[in-house]
Amino acid sequence: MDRKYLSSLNVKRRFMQISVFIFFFAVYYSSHYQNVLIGTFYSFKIGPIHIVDPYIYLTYFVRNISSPSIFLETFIGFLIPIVIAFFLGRVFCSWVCPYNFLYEIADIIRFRLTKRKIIKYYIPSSPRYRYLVLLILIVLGILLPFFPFYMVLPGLLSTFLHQIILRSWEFVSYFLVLFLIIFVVDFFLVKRVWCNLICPTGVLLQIFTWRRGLRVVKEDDVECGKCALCSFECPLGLTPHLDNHQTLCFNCGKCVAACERIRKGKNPLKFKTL
Amino acid sequence: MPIFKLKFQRYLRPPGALKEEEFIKKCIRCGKCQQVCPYNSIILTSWENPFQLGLPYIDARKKPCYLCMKCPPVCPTGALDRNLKDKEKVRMGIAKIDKNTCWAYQGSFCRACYLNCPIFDKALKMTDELLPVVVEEYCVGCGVCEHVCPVEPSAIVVYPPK
Repeated sequence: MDRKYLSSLNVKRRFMQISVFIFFFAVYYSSHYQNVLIGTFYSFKIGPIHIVDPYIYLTYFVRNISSPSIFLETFIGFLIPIVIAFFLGRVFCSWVCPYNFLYEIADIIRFRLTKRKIIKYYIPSSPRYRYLVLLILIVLGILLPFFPFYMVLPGLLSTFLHQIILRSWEFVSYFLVLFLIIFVVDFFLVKRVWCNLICPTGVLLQIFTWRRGLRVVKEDDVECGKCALCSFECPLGLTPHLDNHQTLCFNCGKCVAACERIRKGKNPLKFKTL
Repeated sequence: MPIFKLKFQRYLRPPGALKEEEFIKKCIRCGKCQQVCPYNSIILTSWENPFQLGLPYIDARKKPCYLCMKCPPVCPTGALDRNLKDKEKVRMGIAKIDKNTCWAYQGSFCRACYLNCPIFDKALKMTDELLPVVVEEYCVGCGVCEHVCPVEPSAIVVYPPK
């Protein structure tokens, strides 16, 4: 990939993140006038095509395994984000997820205010912890068909946006209390614990990622100068120059762009597929 | 297979909803039914029942269901029966009149529920032109009667099925 493309990749990513917000507002404002675009991040419909949050679908499927009616289009809606994650990794998290977008904006504000960049984010010492949390959340979502099942942040945030438009202040206030608890822990205490450990959607998308799909690699033919600028830029606090970040990386491309900028085109960090 | 049988207040679900147990299992709280409802009658549960966070219900007194039948086809999981198209076949609940507070039963000449019932003169009949009576086999449970009743609190209330 050439230099100009990668340095503007972050611009494109920001554009996409903002567009998602605007898109959902447009969907909610127009929900009485059109039937083509309906839904939230839990389950969205574009004409005949459904897209369903994979954790929500999985929990729903297992809960209703004895029931006959599982619709085909909803099942395909479950497969679509899985197939995208298979080839492109967790791009949903870095390009679409509204919670990640809000977190990155908050990080920028924190940097402007404190003039210090956080580089010590929480990273679980083993990927097994994430799978354990996912398992617990699936089991809880099946046995108790309420609270934990609904706690998928992209879905909750999008529903919250809709309730603001509807002026359902009860839901809005309930959500704000929930969200503030999560956000305060995630932003001030154990930084990035939601994205790196808990988020069931994120973990599921990563489980279905192909090892040879889109990923960041450190090529051996060009020598790494160990400047660690890539780690500095990483919004999740990973260390690409040590080449051990694969299970958490969400393919935002900031490390590759930074490496390119510093090495002026002869960079060891690159995107790679196959 | 919920491990706890939580006994809370029963809510009026959108038209076409399955039995309450099935409905809670199937509904994924996507919010599509709320989005297509042209009257904004559907509310998502929050403080009133934190164990049912996100589940859609209708508060008939606030805004009843006007039986436009736009919500059943959009439900992605079948928690609302997508084949339900006739408003007469809806079974959201049954209305019951409290004869102690209903003005017609106290001697006044009130026909508010009867005149506004969408299943006109079948689900709600006026006996002797004076006293409203609910005909349970036709009542769909939409709640328009509860919404228009001039008594506070409403003398006619829709009860969801058991």
